[in-house]
Amino acid sequence: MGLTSDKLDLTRQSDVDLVRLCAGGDKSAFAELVRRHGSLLRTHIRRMGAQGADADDMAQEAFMSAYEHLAEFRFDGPFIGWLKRIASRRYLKKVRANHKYLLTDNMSLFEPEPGANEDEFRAHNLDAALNRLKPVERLCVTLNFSGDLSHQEIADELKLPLGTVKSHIKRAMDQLKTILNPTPTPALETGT
Amino acid sequence: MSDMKLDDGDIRDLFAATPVYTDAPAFEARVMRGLRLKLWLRQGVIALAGLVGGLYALAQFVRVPNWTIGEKVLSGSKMARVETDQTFRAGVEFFDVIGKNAVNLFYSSMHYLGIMQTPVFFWVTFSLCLACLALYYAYSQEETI
Repeated sequence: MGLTSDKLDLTRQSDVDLVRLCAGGDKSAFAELVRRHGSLLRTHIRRMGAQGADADDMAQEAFMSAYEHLAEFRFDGPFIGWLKRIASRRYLKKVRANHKYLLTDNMSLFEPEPGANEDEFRAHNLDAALNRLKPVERLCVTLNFSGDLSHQEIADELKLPLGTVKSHIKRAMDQLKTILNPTPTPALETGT
Repeated sequence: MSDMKLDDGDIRDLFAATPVYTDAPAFEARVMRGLRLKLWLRQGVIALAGLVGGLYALAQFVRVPNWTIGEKVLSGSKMARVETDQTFRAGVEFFDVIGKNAVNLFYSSMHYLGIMQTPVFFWVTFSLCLACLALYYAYSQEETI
């Protein structure tokens, strides 16, 4: 007998159960998946480099695409991982189509504005720190840490040599650690 | 303050932390609305394709030799006119006029139906269908990771 959401509290169901309900045509189960993973997906897309409304559009497209391809979900990993991969691919496709300066080496485009508050970036704010990276470094590190793609998978997706991807991630990590590490407060001198 | 150093695990934890969006319910509603619209449009396209297919089938059907529904209608109405009395004749003539107009309309649409019976039309629609299938397959392959 098939499961129906009428008798179930969807908020207590696992992703796997919700996907099975969706595959059976239950749209409310899919709405629960959107509610559960919407913020995570929107953040992932923003961290890759998409901006505000554009990121939300892509997140929506990714959800709709996931709904249409639910039959292809093989239950061999978390649903959000599969969702992020769909979103990542859509984002990369859009970046390539728009010829954005994704793979440039010209850092002058991304230098902070003169007079920018350095302390603001030193805060534990990952998103602000990611904004300081070159787009390709930001993309590589986000795909690796947020999208859970391996270095080889990122190289395949970006059509870059594996060594280049590794060095992008290494450089990005070094910069993130530098930016996010709190500045040691100088010890107060006590007079004698 | 201690001189704390971030490691890879800390960065991973930062990535795992999700900010709360105040417009999350609106986003959910937007996704579901878009999904419903897309499904509705798809059903509309399927219905339209069915209509075109049905029209094509009708065009093939009327091409059957000696298939003359128009003449039958006309001869039937003539017989009725001869065999009925004067009072009833007016009514028959009225329906006769309507019938003739309908047949004329039908024959004028035969021009378009005739186009749909040509081999060119068949190959064009067949190629379009194949192209749609190929595009759908390519698109679905690209989506799948």
